[in-house]
Amino acid sequence: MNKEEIKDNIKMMVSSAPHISDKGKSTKRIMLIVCFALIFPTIGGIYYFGIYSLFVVLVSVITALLTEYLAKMIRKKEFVMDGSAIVTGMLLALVLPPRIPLWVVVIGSAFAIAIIKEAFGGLGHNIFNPALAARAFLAISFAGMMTKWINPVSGIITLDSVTTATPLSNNFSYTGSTSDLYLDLLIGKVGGCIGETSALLVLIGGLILLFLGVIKWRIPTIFIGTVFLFTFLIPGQDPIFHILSGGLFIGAFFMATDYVTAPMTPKGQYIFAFGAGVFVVMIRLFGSMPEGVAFSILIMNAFTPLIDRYVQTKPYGHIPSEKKGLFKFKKSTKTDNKESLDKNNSKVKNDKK
Amino acid sequence: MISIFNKNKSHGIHPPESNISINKKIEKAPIPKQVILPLSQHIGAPSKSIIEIGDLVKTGQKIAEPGSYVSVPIHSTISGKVTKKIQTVSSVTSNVVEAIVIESDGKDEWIKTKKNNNPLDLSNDKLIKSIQDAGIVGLGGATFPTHVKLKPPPEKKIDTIIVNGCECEPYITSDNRLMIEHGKEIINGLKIMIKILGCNNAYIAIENNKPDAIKTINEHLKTIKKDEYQIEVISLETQYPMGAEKTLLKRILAREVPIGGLPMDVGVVVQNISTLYAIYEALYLGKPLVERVVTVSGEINKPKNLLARFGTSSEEIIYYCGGIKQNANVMIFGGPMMGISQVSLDTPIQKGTNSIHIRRDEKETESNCIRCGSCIETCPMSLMPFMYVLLVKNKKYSDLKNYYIDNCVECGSCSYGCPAKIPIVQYIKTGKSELLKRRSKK
Repeated sequence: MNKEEIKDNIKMMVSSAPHISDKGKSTKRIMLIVCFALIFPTIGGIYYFGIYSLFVVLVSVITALLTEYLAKMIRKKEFVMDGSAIVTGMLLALVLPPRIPLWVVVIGSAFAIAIIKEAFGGLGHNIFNPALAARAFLAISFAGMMTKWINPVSGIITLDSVTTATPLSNNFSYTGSTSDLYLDLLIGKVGGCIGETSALLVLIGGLILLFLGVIKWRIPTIFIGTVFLFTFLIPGQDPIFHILSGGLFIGAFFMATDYVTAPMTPKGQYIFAFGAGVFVVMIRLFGSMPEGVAFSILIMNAFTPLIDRYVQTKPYGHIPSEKKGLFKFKKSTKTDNKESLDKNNSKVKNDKK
Repeated sequence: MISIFNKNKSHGIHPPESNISINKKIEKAPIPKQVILPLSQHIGAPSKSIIEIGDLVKTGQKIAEPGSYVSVPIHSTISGKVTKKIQTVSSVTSNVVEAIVIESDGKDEWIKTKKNNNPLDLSNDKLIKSIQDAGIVGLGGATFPTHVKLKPPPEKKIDTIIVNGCECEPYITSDNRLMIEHGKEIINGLKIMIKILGCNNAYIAIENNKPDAIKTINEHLKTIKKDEYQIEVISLETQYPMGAEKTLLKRILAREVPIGGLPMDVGVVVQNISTLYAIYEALYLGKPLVERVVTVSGEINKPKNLLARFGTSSEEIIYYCGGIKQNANVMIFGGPMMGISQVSLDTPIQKGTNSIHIRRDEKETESNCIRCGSCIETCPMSLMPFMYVLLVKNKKYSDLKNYYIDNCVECGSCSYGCPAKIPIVQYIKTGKSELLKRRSKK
């Protein structure tokens, strides 16, 4: 290349800093990882409740995708295959009863995408978790069908069903030792929604999300920990039973961690998860419903904008003052500062030694 | 040693380390036929030209006087004839600035330089004066006049000096090469700084991906008297933006510079190693600042660390480095994280240009924020970058202050890790300039 060639052939473009970005991070990749993690509870659902569960999942996902496509067309926006509709479809299917009629699934899935997600402005703008809100909608609209639980079936290709009670309902009875019950709850040999019965399979999916960095430990740990702590403190309750049964695990790992509807700051996430845990215990023990994970997460979803408004990060170099903020800080005086500086200083020196 | 589990461990990101020029020795670039010297190559008042068109100048001759106290003179970087004064677009601020064009006579005749083997015997005022006269500014990229930093107001007691050898931006290797090849000179420069500030406690911070530099500096430190100087090399984990002075200060000393403040507010002066080398050259060799090490890397045929004169056009440098690879269409002055893209190949390198980085543009389209919070997790200043995007999109500029937008150092960590590929830094820059407009109106 000679100088003239350089001058003539190179046309430089304008680019804005930073000129590089993390290739490994994209919305699509995050959604695909969530889909992959959800395969484990789905397999559990098929294993325990037969191939019909697979139809429920497929119908839900396909309806979600179609609804999103139509909604984007009506809103005159470009349909982007980012995978978020697939996640919503899968999540909704996994929290439905095993013998739910497919037309109910279609209604639920379309409601989740059209009303809860797109009507609010699409991905990133919805206040409530679409899958959970749709489930709540179905639970109220089709109360009978939404509370029809069956025992795990023996074969995969079967539509047989023996109606049963879920572990959390009042008329649930179990013949066997407590440790057997724990084991059944862990592997999922109990009545319940398609994807929530096996705590172990949900945990595997959740750990995949954790290790691939899609979710952080804060929300699931605090959420489950809070439920454990309160049921431990209230006499007559079995904390291990409470955390293993119902939808707590799928709620804590897949629903409460939904980026869009959870607070963004670490502190806000602590509050969110703690609040959800408290509501779960309250609904389970004092409410009229046997299970309350879906409603407690929805309640906290409603609090998220408020939490994000008031719980902010403490910026670098911020000196708390009495005037600003919701909470009052102790005003630091100059001497305080100096002392802490000296302390830091000597700490560094000690570190050096 | 500072433990890894220090609570002051800073947030940040790990861009892939692509130091393709790390083992390239510093090479002298040929003297250009013509230099374009902008009169504003530093933060502060622009310099005032003291020469006329047609004047003959020698290398190192002063061609512009400082415009005010926070300003430095500018020297001719080649010998030859002043041909014209032009208006040019600054490669940093994109404002129109005045520039002097000098045509080379090909001889590179220097002005008389006075060597001084013992500048430490001089008085502080004289030392600071000569640093200003040599046109020295912070060469890490910020280009703040060094003499101002070295003369803090008397009520601000300086107890620690941090020498910044982190060079955390990917691709840039100029500081690293300077430490390996001129470690002794850098320490001599540091001694002068220690004398001026009257502060004995100094840390040389180097990221642990530069083991050669750490080794060289440590070897040179052995030769100086232990009881006289407390200088220590600190090896820090490789992380971006470790080299930002506020991040560095927190990491090493667990002190935070108050919002809107300077490191001297907490008793610290941070200085880049290239600046120390320039101080050494000015005081020991009497050489004014006319050249610097520039890393040329990226999609270029022969990546190099070049010692180039200011005012050399980027075209000339690209030519010397074998031209650019096919499809490359972006030229950045600085690193890929914070550098500024240049459209014209005539753009001259100047005091703050530590790297010319060539790359292919690979911008992805922006999608909706999914509120994942990764910008909050990575922000080294613990800010909430997503809020700025929201507020700027809704034109609520006055609310930006409540989220401490002035605290943002524009390091780009948030944009780098954003899964929705939102150019957050662009929104922040827009917000900052809108705020500035409002303030100046009042």
